[in-house]
Amino acid sequence: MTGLEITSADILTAWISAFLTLAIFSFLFNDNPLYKAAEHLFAGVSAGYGLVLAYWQFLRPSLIGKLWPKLPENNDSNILIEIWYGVYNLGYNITTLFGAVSPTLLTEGGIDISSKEPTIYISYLIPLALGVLMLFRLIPSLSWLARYSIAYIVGVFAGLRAFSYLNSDILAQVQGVKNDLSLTDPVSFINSMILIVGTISALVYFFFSKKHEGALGKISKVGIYFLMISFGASFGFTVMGRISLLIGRFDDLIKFSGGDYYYGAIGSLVIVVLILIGYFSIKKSSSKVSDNI
Amino acid sequence: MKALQILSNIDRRIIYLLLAIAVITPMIVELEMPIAPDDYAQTAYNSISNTFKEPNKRILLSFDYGPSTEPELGPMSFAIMKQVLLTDNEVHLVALFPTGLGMITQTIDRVKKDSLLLESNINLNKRIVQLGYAPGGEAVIKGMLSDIPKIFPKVKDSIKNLCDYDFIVSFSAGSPGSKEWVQFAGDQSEAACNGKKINVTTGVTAVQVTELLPYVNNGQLKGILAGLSGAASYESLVGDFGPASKNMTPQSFAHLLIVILIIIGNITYIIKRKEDR
Repeated sequence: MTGLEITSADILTAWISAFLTLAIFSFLFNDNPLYKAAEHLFAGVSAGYGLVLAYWQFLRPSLIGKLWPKLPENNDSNILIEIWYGVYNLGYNITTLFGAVSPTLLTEGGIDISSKEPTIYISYLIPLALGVLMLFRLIPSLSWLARYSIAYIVGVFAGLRAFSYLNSDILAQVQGVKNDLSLTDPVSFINSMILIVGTISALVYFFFSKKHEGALGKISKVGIYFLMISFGASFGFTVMGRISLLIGRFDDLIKFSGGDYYYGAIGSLVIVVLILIGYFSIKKSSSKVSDNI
Repeated sequence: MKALQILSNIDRRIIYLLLAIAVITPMIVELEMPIAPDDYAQTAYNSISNTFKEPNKRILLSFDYGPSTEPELGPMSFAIMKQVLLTDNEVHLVALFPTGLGMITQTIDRVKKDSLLLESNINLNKRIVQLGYAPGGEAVIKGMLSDIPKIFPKVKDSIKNLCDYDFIVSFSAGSPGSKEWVQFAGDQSEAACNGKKINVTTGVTAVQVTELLPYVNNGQLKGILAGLSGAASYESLVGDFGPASKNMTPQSFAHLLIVILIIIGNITYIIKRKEDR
């Protein structure tokens, strides 16, 4: 025991967690409905979690809160603001089913973003409109409207990335190599030479405008060796990463197999094995029947 | 040559079983192995400890990962947060992954139960500031470089932009993550912060390490914590034998098994090729 009290909710969580982990691991034996159910559940829960989080963490405070912030009681109101907040109130009434349920998604009179001087930012209508256009992908006849939003996103990110890649991945790297070639430190000099030779020879390997023979062929062969070393290092790190994840799962399964969790992992393992035995025996017998027919 | 035939046709399920045994056995037996910190973790540790020698500075920790990569990144996020809090500095937390919020909560819970921090009487509620999660990846980082309250409206008044931080650490399982923090925060900070360079370091899943090493060698990243071994290195540097150090033993056993299997695979392949000739 760690000294922490384990509640019945913890025990239930342990059982579900262990069962789903083993359901996913069951794919290693063979494809089966238990694995598929766990996989679909994971995809659904992830999507739902992402949506809820995006709303509460970002859409509500940073979009709705900017368009309809809760104004102070003594705020000078005019007809335009009344109309503007009329739109909000319509949404508020819909989300509360016209007073039938307590307000959760929206609060009465606007979103409280704890700002000293709440301001209405009309310019935030642009991201709102782009967001709404994205939803038109769900209507096949109007899905072309989503292209405007996609074009905006692609444009913004292309612009953002073009500069940053040039700055960080090309200019800064070339500058770094230039500094190391100053001969003040022999180790850095050798490193930089390897880097230069490796980069150029690997680039030559991908140069297909001329046949790889003679000097070009030799340089491209050096490039292959550099690429192989690079792939080998990546493979080694990938193996390390995947094993770490496996350790993480086993860590939890070992923890949940103790008496504190009512032997959650062992119980789940028995259930999973029984389901798999049942499924594969039914599958085997039904295939025998179809063979006989 | 029957043995050769058996070895070259091993069922993949037997390999899975062997791997499971190699991982589980040292975990149950609780074997411990000595951890020697690597140079990259040492660089990260030195940069952070030099920056936060004195109190009242700020570090921004970005939780760009989820539960699936927690075994690798969880221990390092805890170790760094604890190290900075122990010198009475402020820790600000942000998430570029939606699942990062859960990881923030989990790390804070662990920090609040740490005996050293409990003894230190540091006001953790005051020292830990949660900014929250924002979707948008690099656009969020770019926005934070100029105006943080615009993205996180409930942020403290004293924080205007990334220039108000002394150090940034990204715990990254993919994109957006470390690469974006280097490109959009670290490398652009000098221009945006009137010459102030914000140091950036990272703790990443092992899969990403080779992609980020050029940044480390060039000083764009102040060291790197490479997967579970990086986390174990950092734990040994801060003198806290935690989950990463404990999990390095099953990791090493699994590596040993994989090396043995690769050698067997190659030997059988060479012998078979000779026979075919």
